[in-house]
Amino acid sequence: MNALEIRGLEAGYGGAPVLHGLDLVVPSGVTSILGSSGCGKTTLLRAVAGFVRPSGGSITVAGTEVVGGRRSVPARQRGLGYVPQEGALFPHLTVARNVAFGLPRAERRNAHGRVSEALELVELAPELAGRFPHELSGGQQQRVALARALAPRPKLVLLDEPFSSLDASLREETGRAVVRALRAADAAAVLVTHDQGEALSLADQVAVMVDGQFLQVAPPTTVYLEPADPRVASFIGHASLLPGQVDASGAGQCALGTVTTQSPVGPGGAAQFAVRSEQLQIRPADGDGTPGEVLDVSFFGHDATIRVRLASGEHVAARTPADSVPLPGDRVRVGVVGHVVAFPA
Amino acid sequence: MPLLVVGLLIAALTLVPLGYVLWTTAELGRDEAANFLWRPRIGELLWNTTRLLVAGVFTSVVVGVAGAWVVERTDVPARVWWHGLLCAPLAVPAFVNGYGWVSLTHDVQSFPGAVMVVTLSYFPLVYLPTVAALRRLDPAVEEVATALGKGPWQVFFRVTLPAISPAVLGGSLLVGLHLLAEYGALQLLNYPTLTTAILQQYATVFNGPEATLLALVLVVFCLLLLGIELLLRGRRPRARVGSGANRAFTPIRLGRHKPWVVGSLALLAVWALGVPLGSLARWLARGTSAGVDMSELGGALWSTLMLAVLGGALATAAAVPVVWLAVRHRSLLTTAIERSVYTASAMPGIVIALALVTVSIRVVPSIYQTLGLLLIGYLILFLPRAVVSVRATFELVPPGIEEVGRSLGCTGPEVARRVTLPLVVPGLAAAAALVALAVSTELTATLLLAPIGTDTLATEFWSDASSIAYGAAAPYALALILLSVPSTWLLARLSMRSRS
Repeated sequence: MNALEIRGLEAGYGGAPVLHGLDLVVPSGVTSILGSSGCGKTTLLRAVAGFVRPSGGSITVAGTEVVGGRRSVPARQRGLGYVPQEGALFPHLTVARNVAFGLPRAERRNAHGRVSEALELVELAPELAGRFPHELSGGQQQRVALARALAPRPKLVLLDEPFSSLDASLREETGRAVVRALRAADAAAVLVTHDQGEALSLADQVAVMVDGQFLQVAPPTTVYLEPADPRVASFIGHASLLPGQVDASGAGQCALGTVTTQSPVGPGGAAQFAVRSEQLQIRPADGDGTPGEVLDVSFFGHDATIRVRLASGEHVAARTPADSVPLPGDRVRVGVVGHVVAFPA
Repeated sequence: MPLLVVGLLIAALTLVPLGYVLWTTAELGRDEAANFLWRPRIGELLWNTTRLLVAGVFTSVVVGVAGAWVVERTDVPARVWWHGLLCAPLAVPAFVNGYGWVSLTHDVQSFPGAVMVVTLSYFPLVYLPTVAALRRLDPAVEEVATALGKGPWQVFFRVTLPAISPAVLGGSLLVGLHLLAEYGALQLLNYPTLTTAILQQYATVFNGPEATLLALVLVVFCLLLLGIELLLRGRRPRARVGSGANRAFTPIRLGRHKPWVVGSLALLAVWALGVPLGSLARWLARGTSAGVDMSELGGALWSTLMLAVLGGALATAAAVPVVWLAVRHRSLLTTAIERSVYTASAMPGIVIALALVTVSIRVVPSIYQTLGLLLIGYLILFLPRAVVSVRATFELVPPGIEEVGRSLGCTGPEVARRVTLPLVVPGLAAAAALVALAVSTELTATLLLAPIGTDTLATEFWSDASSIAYGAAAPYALALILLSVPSTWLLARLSMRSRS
């Protein structure tokens, strides 16, 4: 049984719809909805949670249809875990009472075991149970919010940008802890995020959303290596998109010269090539490759991103190791490594 | 430093009423006091005051919180208009509201009638802070509770209400203090309380120990209220966790409840605004046919405006050093100066007036029955208000900006003149205007302190309304309402802006 099934979902706020006929199946594990702000990913999450009433389509949670036709189960009867941005802990309750909040009244009386179990699940020390939310760090608050969502043992947990308010260092660690807790609790999860690193590293399945539609729903490696759409390629791999042709032998011709392709585009057609930044190598001006001029350099430490203007006028972005970084204005040559993804133009 | 001396002088002045109460208590013989207080009449006053306080605060909280929740959390149509209508009763002074009702029906001259009229006048004091608190409350907190399987009532009582309770408590405290200080409306409704009894005592035997003793009991009531509020508020944390912007949220659908919810709001608006304005219009139509004494009206308008402008300027001018000391020269002493100003907010106007009358007669008889004493009364009465708004203005000025001024070679006074003051002048003007508007509708203290021959709109209204000359009182009532509109509008705007 799938943890979540969405069919033809349409939703919006009054005027124009935000979601246009979405389909999504979450079998188990973590599915991340990846998209830039305003693409409708939060609306989707809120429709599943029951805070937005869809105008069409169906939503089935763990085999029970919660939205279908004109029927809509109220949010409080859906039995979902919900973790909003910044956790939204109840500020007037201790950690223990926050976690116990969703338990049935009878269990709440004697919730000690369930609370410490939930805290253990999210890897928090049991001593924190007596603290108030404002006495916790941001990462701890986020974990308590998850413990609160997990305590009633939901089949599905919805997380709305749960790590965006955390420091970069804390974000990764908290993210991994959250996923471990979800797996240990045997709960499926939908994680909404605009951070592609978060989406790729935490999820079993990534759904890339643009303008209220999914461009691709696939495992992280597939989304990254075999993007189904040029927009997915440029969004996820920071790929440079170059126009060109596929010749009779199946090889691609573009501003970077002849490239080998891995693509559904048949020979002889116009094509668009997506070259991921780590596929481009910056070589000295007397090496082989396409000549170009370095426009600017962003140095990150572990590597650097070099933007190069090719002789043909096109711009490409290349990622190079930290020890071979050119200077802006340098003349370089650009080579391509591996297969390039081609899309029909 | 001269600033500290000024601050200490202001603090000393604002402590006069409290000192007077404590001093006269100490001065009175214990038996004398016990004999006076141990009488059925006093018991009746205490019972009347207590039950009005409990019932009035309770109904104000119910109406104010329910109204705020409907406006802020549901899909009720025309929210902004309802917000305006629920704030608007603040623009009708309670004694004008009482006049509107009593000139319509004498049935309100009873305990339920008194509770109803004071509720209609004072529920916005709960409504306003509650709306602002609901706006600041992250709706995600309520959504999480819903996702955890709680129904709307449970979400409200277990999550929303605890989170907004400081605002509700603060509003209830204000209602309570206003109820204890209310004279005009309750006198018109013929409902005797401690405050109305003090004025009656004062009118019959001028300044006997009875009025003083009653004032003492009244102050004890006020302190009790403050204590209860502090106790209930406790030290539990209710600050919101996290800092980011509030997310979008979906208003609760009223669905089939919509008709009666909208109907109740409409009924409330008619009760609180329609009735007083309607009977005012009726008396205006009748009164003008009988002829309005324009010179009397003009004279009252002139003295009201003069007193309002002077009072506003004086209170704001006194608030500046107090706030400056507390914000920029923080120490135990300066904090104590600021706090001492707030003691006056627990003192009903009647006690402040009584204190000034007694002290001036005993210590400096030359200022008794002068405009100066009346202005000092206004200063003590409204300084807490001025300090709150001046403080809000000063806190917007980052201290760093003054340090920059100093680093560019300015002396302390120069920084104040060239950097700080230009930044705070709009805020100071707003503070002065708020106090001026409050002065222009003040009744109780003015009745005691105004020199003979100085009549304000409020006192003219009062002399007509209390002698059942309802038609003659109408033009003054209208003027009082018009004077209250701007500050009400400002408050309504401020509470709606607080979603960041």
